[in-house]
Amino acid sequence: MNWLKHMFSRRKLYGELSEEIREHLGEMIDEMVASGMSREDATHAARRQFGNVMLAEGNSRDVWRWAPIEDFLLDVRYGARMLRKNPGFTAVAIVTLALGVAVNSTVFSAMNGFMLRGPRIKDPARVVVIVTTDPLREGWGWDRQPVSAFDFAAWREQSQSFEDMAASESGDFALAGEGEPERLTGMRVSANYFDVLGVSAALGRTFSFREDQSGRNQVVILSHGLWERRFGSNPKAIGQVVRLDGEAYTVVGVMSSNYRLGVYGSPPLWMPLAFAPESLLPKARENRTLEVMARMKPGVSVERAKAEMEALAKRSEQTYSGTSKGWSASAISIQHYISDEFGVGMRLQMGVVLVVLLIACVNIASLQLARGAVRQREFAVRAALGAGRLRLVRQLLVESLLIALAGGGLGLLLACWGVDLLRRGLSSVADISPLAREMTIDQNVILYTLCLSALTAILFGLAPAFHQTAVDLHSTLKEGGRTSSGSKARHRTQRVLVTTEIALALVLLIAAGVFVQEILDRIHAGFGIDANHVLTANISLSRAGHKGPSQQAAFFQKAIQRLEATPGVIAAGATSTLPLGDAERIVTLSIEGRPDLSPAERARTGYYAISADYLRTLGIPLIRGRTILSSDSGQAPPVALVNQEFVRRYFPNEEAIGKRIRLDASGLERPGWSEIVGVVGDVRNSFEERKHAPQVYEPFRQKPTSVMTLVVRTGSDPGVFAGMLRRAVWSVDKDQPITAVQTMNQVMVQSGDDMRVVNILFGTFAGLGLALAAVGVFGLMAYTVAQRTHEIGIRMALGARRSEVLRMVVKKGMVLGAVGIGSGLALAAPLVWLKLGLANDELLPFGQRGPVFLAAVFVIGLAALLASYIPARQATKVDPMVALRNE
Amino acid sequence: MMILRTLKRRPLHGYALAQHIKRTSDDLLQIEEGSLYPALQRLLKEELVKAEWGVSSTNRRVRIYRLTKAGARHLEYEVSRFERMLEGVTRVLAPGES
Repeated sequence: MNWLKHMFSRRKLYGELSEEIREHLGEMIDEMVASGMSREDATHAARRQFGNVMLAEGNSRDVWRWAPIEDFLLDVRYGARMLRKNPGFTAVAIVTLALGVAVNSTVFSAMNGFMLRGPRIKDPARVVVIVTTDPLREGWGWDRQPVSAFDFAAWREQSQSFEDMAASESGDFALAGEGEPERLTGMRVSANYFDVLGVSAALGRTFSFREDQSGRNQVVILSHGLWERRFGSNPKAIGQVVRLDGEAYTVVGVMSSNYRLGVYGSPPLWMPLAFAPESLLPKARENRTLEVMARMKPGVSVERAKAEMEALAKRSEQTYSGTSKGWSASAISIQHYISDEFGVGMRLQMGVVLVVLLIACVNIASLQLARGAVRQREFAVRAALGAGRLRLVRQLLVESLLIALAGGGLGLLLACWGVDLLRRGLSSVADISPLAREMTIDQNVILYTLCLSALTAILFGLAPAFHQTAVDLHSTLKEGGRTSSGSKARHRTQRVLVTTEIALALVLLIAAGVFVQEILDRIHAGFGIDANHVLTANISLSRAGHKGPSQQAAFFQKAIQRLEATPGVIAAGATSTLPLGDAERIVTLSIEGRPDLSPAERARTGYYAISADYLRTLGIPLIRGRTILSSDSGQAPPVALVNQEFVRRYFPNEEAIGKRIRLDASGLERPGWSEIVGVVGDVRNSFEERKHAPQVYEPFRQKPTSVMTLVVRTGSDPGVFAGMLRRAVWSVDKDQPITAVQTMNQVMVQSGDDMRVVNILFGTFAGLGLALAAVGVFGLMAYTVAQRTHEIGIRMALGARRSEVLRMVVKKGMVLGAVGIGSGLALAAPLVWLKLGLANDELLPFGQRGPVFLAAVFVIGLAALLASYIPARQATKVDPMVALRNE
Repeated sequence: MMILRTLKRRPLHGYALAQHIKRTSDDLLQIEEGSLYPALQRLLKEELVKAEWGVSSTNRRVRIYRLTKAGARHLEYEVSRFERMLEGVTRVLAPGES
């Protein structure tokens, strides 16, 4: 501990030491003078006797030094001075690194926000999601299906691994009262839901035991957001009565504002889930609607829970044979469940930005290498004065570290701006917006940035450091000012750097190209509808006032009639599922005359309940037969329309019209047979889908539903029509909430949002990487050529023609380019199979990716050509005499 | 060790110390001033000696070193170690039984 004290009084110490030694010398001289020497002789003799004064003083000082730290600080000061002397290099290096670090930090903070932050519940590591799985069906989504009510009740009782299990399902509710009627998607949950999650209400209470039984379940818990928005944060909201779907519910609690479960934030309200008695019968095992979560007992692992669920599912299958054949169950940790949704996309982005950072590092490394040539003398002198190689390398590494820290700091600042931009961009993508709000620069991000900066310092610092310090003392010092044109090793490193940059740039270009190709292909293929001049609006009938199917059908009938009567409307209709707007509803079907299959084995098709003029409104063509007419009322014989893909799949060699099919759309045990009366064009229901799927349409008057989307084709701009649409609907029922009033074009654009957001990100990062690579390659090649100016001058003075010299230089450059392209292609080969997070059959056939590869190679090749040609031309233009003199 | 012994007798400053050792060892030990000062600094750092400014006999401003208690203990320890070593070496080198 003494040295700590000593450190502060160091200066004084050194001063005293100096004085002491001076006095000592003085005494020695005095004595010698006293014994007869001249002062001058005495001085010389004394110094000789003392030995190396400076060294003695230096060694004495060394006793007090704390060598490693002091050396390091010296290095830092020296490095900073060196960097300051070379502002151009320093600025470029810092900015380049800052760009690379910024994009990495931005993407990492997104990943941090989405994936790494757990749900805000008690001890999320102990919570699992129980899912059912259909092991026979492969592909997406079949390994995590919801649970049926029957299974939930059974497994809750039978399982041993869990403290408790809770279930939830979403439901649409119409909230009425003061203010506009509003449609909300809330959650119905079992009474123990919040207990299993371990959260308590901020105000009031959570549900109590047995509150999820019918008769006691007219209670509701609000989310903090809803409470603020609709109840003005009024503490007296507890106890108030609200009307949901026409029925009265008492508010018993408000959730805290930082509760969050999954990716999509928190639902606006919760009410208790009461199971209808039918849903608790074994045959209702097919009805999978519940999301089930369970808290594991202490000591239970996820694997054990998973194994138990599989066993329980097997037992249920055996006990209630004939239901849910082949289905099993599993348990997934809640963290994995949530993060898997974003896994692929995020990882892809991370890959891209890491490549960008690599390119930035290569740039800086080549810059350093170029600068190293100039600093040869400096190192030679230091080595001559006794510096070891390691000392010099350390010095250079410290300089790299300084650049890295400065670049990292600047990058973090840029990232703040970038994250803000990203957040705003993602907020418009409705699904992710609550999560987007959470994307901030927190300590994880800062830590990550720091580590990344340090790593890059080593990456771009090490190799050049070793090169620059491999000095040939003799020749360097001797030449007195001539910067050496470089050793073989330096040239080799330069070549490696150039080819690396070219390879990385190629990889980026290909990845971006593949992505763009997919999107363009989708847009080009069209969706089977005419989206122009169409306005849409979603109507969800609340249970009050429109209780029965016939009343529901009557409502929509009237609404459509009112719309058709409005001036400016060409056609109006309604559908239960809006293409590109809603997820397609899939139902099982049977075809008359074909063997009867159990529900689990039946074929599946997309299903739409539509009005007579729906097809005309959206511009879906009628291929054969007839469309739905007003004569197809509720009492008329049931009819259906199918699309071409349906015919291709189920009636490949026969006429479909006249055949009868049965669709399990209405929840009835045995729905009736409908006759196919027409074939219509295929419609693509989602942006990502490429292949067509079978689709069936039935008249909504025969198969009423409470939720439909109105579509209206207008003569002029559909946007201005929104007010008239609302008036038309409210003239039928003034309390009916209308949601999602958008033009069809807006719907279409939004459906592509997921792919589009990723595409924009991709494009930005790839573009940045390419710009950096272009600058780097060009700069390096220009520098290489400039180094050969002397040589070029000699050649031309000896009679070489300009074209010959040009050809020689460009050829060398193209060789580098070829090697770079070759290695880039090798690196990019896996991109041929890049899944982009889509299922296998949704991608373009792999063969079609060829053009992207070729285009990328062409672009990069052209760039490499220009990069070698232009500097070469400059060099050959120089007067040979000047070039010869150029040192 | 020798510096410590010298200082035990009385406190001295650098030059006098060097002179004393030279004289006492009859010029057998020439302590080079160049290594004297680093040694003094080391002793100072380990707090085996204390230093304070004073005036020498020749009216120069000098730093006078004085042994501390820890220094005295250290000296004893070093001396006994040296004597033991010397004893050992002497015995090994002793003419005698072959």
